[in-house]
Amino acid sequence: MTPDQILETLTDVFRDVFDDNALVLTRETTANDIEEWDSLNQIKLILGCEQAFKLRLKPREINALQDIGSMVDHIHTLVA
Amino acid sequence: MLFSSAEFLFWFLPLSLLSFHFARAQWGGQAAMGTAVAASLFFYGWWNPPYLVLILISVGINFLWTKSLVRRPGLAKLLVALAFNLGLLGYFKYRNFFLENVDFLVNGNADAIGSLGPIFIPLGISFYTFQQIALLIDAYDEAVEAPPSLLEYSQFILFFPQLIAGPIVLYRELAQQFSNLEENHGAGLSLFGPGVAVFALGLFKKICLADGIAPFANTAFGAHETITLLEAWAGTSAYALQLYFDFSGYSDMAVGLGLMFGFRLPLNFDTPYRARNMIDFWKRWHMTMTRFFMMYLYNPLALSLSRYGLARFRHGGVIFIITVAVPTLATFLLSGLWHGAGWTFVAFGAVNGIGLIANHAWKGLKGPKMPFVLAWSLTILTVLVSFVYFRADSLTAAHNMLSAMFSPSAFILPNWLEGVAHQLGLEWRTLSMLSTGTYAVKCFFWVVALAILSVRMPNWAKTYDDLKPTWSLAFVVAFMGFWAIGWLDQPQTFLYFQF
Repeated sequence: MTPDQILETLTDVFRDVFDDNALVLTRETTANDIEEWDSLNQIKLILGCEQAFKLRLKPREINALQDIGSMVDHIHTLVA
Repeated sequence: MLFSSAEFLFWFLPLSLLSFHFARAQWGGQAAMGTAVAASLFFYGWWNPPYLVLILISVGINFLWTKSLVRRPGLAKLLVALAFNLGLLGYFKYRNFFLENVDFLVNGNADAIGSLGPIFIPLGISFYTFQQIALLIDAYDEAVEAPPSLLEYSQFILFFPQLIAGPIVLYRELAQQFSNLEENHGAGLSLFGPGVAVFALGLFKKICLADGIAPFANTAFGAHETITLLEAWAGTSAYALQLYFDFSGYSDMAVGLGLMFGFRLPLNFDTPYRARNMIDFWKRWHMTMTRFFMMYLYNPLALSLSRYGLARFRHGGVIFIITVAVPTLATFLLSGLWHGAGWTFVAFGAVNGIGLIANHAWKGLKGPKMPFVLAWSLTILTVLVSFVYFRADSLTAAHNMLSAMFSPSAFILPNWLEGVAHQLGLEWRTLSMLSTGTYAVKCFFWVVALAILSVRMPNWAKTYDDLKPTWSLAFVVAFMGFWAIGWLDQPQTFLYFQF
């Protein structure tokens, strides 16, 4: 999977979790840019990513990720 | 030595800043950090020198453990380190509370514990313990690239602007700033100006606003046995504003001090009384504590329970309880207990946890979007109820306050409104808090003025990068600084220092 494909799939996961089909993700998007991003949605995002990318994330694995770009890169290393 | 005391402002702070920046210019970043650590130890020792030994032991042992975990992560090693830290915190902060409750359960009273004597909680222990625990877990998770040197670690934990009451900083927020300083391309004095502005705002919030409104809250909570409806609302509102300006004032001072030294510390308050729901409120109130609990407790718990719940159950209500209600309530009960060893703090956590669960349920059920005024009022009402528990000396005192706030029979007018009471057929008497019209008007003025300021005041701790050195800014900063210094004669301790 290329980083662009990961970003595309990630966008679908986010749209599903935030129930917003117009949501657009860029590598620079952060939690502060999405008003509805809260603790519960974060858990839903982890579960959504696990399902979409067929992987298992540790609970604190996304703590250190600063933005969507670092999330894409992190998933890229896991699925590569 | 309080940030708002003369010895700090006119003696300790100028000297520590001068020595830090002189050492940085003359001998480089490491020497500067050395002076900051030495100043921080002096600052901490000023209160109670024996507790320096405790914090140094804690820092020394945690430093070695962190280093070892970064090099070779291991679950057993992490668990021993966590047990050490939580054991230390438990012994000093929760020992009496725990024994009193055991005694109550076994013997039906807690009198025997009186022989233990009062417990003196080492200043800042909840904060420096959490900061060290966060780094230990990050090290175990392999989220720390290189182990900190002893100097970096000491500065990370002991740096006086954040040592006593936060913000709870993550190592990753400072690691790069330390490297930059050590390689002599740190922020230098470039953040000094904004730092002075943020600090002055914090000083003004604490001395002029929080300490100014505090007497109204103290009088109300002191008279909880005879308090009436109007007084209970006035006192609780006054306390909510005192707490906000006290702690956000302290946090602004911490961020401002960090900037004066060239360090960016994280934001702790983002105008929380503007929040339109409980989720929003906790994204804005004591943000670094919430972040700690979310990252290291709620997320692991909620994720495990979600995996468990989603794999076994189909009923939406059951899934909601397992995946949302249980982890949220558990997290907030523990965060309440973190504030203090008492059932009032547990109740504070419970009220907020229940508020958040209701908020998530409303969202989950796709309830209609409430008008802002209604949503905001419900949020503030929940927050006020929780703050009654937070402030009250006992559950009985809290329940006296709450029953006065919500019981129509407690609606009793003061004696100076006797005429109005007669006309409307209402009960009146001489009240313990609002005993004179002048006092009531003063209280009303303070509550309204501070309520407006709490939502309208600029948040420079968040926007300091946008501050421009204009005459108007200089005038405002000088005005706040002079006003605060003029009221310095009786510095009051910060509310969060007790935690």
